[in-house]
Amino acid sequence: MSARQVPKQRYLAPKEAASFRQVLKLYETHQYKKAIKVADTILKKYPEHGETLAMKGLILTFLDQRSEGHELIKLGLKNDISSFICWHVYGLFHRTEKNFDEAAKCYMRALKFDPGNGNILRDLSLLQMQMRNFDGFVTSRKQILSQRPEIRQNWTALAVGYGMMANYDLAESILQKYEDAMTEPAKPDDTEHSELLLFKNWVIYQRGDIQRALDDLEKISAFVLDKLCVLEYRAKYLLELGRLEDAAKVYRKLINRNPDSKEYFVGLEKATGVTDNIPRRKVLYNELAKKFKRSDVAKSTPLYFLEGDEFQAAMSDYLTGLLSRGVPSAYVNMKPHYANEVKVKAIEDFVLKYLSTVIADSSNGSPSNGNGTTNGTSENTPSTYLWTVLYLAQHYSKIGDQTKATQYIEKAIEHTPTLVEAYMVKAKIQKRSGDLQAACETMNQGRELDLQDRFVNSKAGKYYLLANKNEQAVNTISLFTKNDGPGKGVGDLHEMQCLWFITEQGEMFARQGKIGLALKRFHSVKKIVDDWWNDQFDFHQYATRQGTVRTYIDLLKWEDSLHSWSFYTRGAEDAIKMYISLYDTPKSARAAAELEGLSEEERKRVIKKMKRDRAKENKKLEIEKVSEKDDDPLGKNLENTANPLEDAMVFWKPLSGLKEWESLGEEIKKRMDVAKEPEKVVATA
Amino acid sequence: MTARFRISLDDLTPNNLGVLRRINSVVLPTTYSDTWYKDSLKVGELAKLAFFDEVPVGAIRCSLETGKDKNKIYIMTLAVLSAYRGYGIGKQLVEHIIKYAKTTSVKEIYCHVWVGNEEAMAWYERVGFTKCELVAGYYRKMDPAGDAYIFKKIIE
Repeated sequence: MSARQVPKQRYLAPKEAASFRQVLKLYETHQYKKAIKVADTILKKYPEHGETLAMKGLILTFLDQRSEGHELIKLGLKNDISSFICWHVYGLFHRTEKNFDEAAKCYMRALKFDPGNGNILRDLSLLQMQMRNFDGFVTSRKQILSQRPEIRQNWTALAVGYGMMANYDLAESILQKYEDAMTEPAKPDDTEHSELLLFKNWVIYQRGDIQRALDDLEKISAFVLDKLCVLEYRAKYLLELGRLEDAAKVYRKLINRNPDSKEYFVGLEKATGVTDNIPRRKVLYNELAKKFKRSDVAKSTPLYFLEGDEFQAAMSDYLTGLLSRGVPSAYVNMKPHYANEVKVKAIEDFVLKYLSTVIADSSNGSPSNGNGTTNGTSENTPSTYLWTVLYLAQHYSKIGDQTKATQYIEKAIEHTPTLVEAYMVKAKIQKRSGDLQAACETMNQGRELDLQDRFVNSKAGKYYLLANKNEQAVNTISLFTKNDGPGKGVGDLHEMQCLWFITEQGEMFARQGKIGLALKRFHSVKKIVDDWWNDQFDFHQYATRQGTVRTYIDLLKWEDSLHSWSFYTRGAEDAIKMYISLYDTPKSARAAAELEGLSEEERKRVIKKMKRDRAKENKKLEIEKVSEKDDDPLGKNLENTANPLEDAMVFWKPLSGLKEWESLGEEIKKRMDVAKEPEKVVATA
Repeated sequence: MTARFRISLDDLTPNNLGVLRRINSVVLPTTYSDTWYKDSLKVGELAKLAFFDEVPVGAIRCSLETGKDKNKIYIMTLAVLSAYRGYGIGKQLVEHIIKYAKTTSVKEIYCHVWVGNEEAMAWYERVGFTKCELVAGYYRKMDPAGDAYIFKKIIE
């Protein structure tokens, strides 16, 4: 660079040039205030100096003076449009604004003026990965690698790029080249090296050459620290190669290590070839259940494939175990079988019969000597009865018979009025019966039995929201939040990204016609999920440096599916529907509808009253601020949007390409087309 | 055979005070005031909850009476949910109080039992209490007013 002629506008006298280098150093070490002071001394002598202006602007954005900083950056760029520093700075600014596209463009310009600048290339590659521009990423990474081939992470990063493009041949050859170039053997505790070996092995497997993947695995296994992963890969490869006996051995080893992993059991089923042979499959699970007495997977899996009498026998054994031990999750464990009507009936018959024996037992063998031992011969204790009637309450509620469910839950509560779970079940039954007011009171009764149980506290909060009782909901849930911020716990729940609360509260506001507040919550949902998407940015560099690339690739794939998860789609659907209705019924029409058929005088009175009520209500709700800086706590700006359809589009965009959300998108587009039509008419007329 | 159930005692805390309320309200005919429940948190070892397989099913709440000649513990409430009686839960609660008393200067534990409650009177005798004087009309709110026996246990 020194060989090049410095343009006039960029020239600094040696003293100021040294100061500028100091600014860069201070910026890198986060000494922002000092950096500004030094920059100002340069600007005294060279007030138009573009690079200094840009740097000062960038630093100001870190000192919470974003708009001022932005202006300076733009001015700096204007004064020195061919400076790579100015463009890099502008790129960094866009990056902090999450304008990844713009940022990438700036970096590209910067590279035009300083081709091969390592820092900029690296920053660009991070952006390219964030935007899943794999071609661009690989191009940048190739350049970085050719500059610094001695750094391991440069090889890893390029291989990851090829891996994400599913170009496993090239990924493997990059990793192989790195290995070949290694001059000394890795240390035994080098986790990065160990991870890299597994990554390469994964790449070989992805190429479809399973035998070679297995051979490679045997070769590297001594150097790999993650022994469990070696076993898992080995089992999988052997299975896929059809070496079933060997695969079965490894799966048995894995089950020994963890008898609660469903995946291992499925592997063993396949390796022993019993998957399609129910009698043999049953024998296998019987054997496993005997061997691993505490494994729920071994005991419960047969319930999925057995039918008729065999199901009956296995189910009664399994359920007897759960009910007699008073396992609170008994019903939850059985829930998957409720899709099968025949099985549901069998379960019902069994539990009813079981209950009658429990009752018979306790009436002829009740304890009476008070020594903690009973006279009866039965295995049953009062808890058996309790958990059995509780099960029946959940059972009947699930199959839609809320009357019977109520009878059983009342029995449970009469028997043991101190069991939190019983109140939770009762509240759910009341909810399903449509009595939301009673449901939230019942849930609260349960909560009062154990104030430190956050689960029941959250449930009580949720049930209050369902019953449109915002104040009780917020007060209850705030018992577990940090409340020094605005809006009691609501601010903290936003800070903590508590999606279920924000969504439920938004839906409550929607039911109450508080459109602004509802939209505000739905926007919060989107922001949180967007934040999760943005959060991956830090990992692009971190993961390759740490060498944990297999996990990193999983993360990238997870991020790609993020917006299709219900925690996003639910809030997004709510918001889109609300915006559509805002479009369909504009504000004036909504107000008119409320006043229809009233005389002029009545109208005036009603409007006055509505205004008064709303002001009162709003005053109460203004405490719902979600952060210190929240200057629109009621979401008025959102409600008064001029472009509800475009706002709806913002929520729908992440859902585009997902089949189940197509029709909702159509609803928006249809209206957008109609909105455009009048212009067309005018144009053709 | 291993025990098929487990009984354990635990402290009364602000978080589980609701349990004492619920047990007392379903088992005992008397209602107690909010102040009484609040004060229950201040008596330390003299208030305990009993758990049957992790589910709270019984509670004891006493008070310390300091006198000139001797200090006494008075059992104000002792309640076990009816479904859980006969498993030695009440006994464990009382034994806890006796054991605690022995570590203090308390010389006597006592309580009132309604004369009509044969079951309770027999039970107190079984756990080592002695039937003493009759207090006529002790249960004023009963109609007609109910008499009570005092049951005592002397601590050596």
